[in-house]
Amino acid sequence: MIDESDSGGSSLEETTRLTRAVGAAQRGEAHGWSVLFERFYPDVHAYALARLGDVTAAEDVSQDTFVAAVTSIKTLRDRREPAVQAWFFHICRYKVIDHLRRGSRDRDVAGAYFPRPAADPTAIVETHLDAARVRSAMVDLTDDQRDLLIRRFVLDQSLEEVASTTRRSVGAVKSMQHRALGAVRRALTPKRVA
Amino acid sequence: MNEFIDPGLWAQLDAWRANSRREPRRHARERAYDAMLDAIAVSSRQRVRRSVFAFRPRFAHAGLLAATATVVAAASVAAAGWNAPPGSPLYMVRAARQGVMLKLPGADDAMLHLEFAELSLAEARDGSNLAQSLADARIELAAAVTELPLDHHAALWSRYRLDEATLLSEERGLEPDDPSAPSTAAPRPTDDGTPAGAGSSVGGDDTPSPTFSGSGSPSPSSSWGDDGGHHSPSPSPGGTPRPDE
Repeated sequence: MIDESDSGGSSLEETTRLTRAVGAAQRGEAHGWSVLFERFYPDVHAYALARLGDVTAAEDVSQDTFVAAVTSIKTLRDRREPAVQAWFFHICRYKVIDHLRRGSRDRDVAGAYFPRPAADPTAIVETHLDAARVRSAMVDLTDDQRDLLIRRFVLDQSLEEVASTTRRSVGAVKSMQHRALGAVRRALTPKRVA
Repeated sequence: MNEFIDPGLWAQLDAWRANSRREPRRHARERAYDAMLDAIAVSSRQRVRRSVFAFRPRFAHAGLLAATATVVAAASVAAAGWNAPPGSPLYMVRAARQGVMLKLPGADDAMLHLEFAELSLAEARDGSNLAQSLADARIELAAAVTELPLDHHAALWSRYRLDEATLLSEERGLEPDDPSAPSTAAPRPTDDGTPAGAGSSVGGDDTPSPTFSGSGSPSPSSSWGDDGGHHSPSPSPGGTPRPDE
């Protein structure tokens, strides 16, 4: 049985801890940054990997995101978790764009995805290929649409969360998701040869 | 809330999700953390540097404001006290200004002392702090004597005698009319027959006393010039200047 009071207290404590961590980070204190790093690095990494599909590139972008965040955290006003997370994603999004613009970057062999040993290597390869197809299908989407799909289907954010952090209405987010999924579906559908 | 997504697309989105949400590699995570700490250190140094540089403009700004306020205040005080009458709180400004004028190289001290004395006499006539104005005039005239040229026929001597006579006239008007009032010198008759005060109640016995015309206007006596004005010539009963030569 779940004790709701404990759960609420824990959530409140976590919120307070995060708020204090943001304040400490804004004062340049390393322990505040440690808390933020532990909490948001996996999400930032997932966001970058969902966009890039390259582990090494995602790691570089994640690192660049936190380095850039150090210098720009003074601009962060809202210390609540969704706002802080959205702020990290905002930085990461532009770091991804910067990375893609540097198209001449050499791909390191070490950066290629080497899946962990699993019971069914074939399944892993298929998963990897499916993910690559989705990324390819997203090429023609707008940056906002790609951002939305990552939040919804990689980071598991609700429509309301996406709406609040992107300052859109739920209806607008839903509509954008519909158009984005339609475009992905069309791109994934094999074209018939006449 | 969620729209219907066909199973084929959903499976591919799920694969995309699983592929993207892999655990970050440990060494990459540590590298990112170290890079972040380095950035914090650099940012802290820059913050300190900025705070140091930012302090200077603020300090300079405050200093500039203070200097401007001081200059404006000093100018205002100087302007207000330039010709402040005796008894005024800003009279010291005027005294300082006159002292500076006397100290300036090439200044004609005799001329300046006479000008200051005449200014005090004018203020006495205007009734602004009569006693203090006359005392100032007396001091200036006493100082002028020491600076006057040796030639007693010089124009400055005539001017001095005229100022001295004016001073005596004013001082006489300052004395009380009560005959029982103490007097340090023998009363001198004037043209209206009332006893006059001492030749000088301010300047002492060494100052010359003028003679007066019938209209009461002072006129210098040329006999003072021979001995440097150390005589006290007796006034003429008829109210006309007594020629000594």
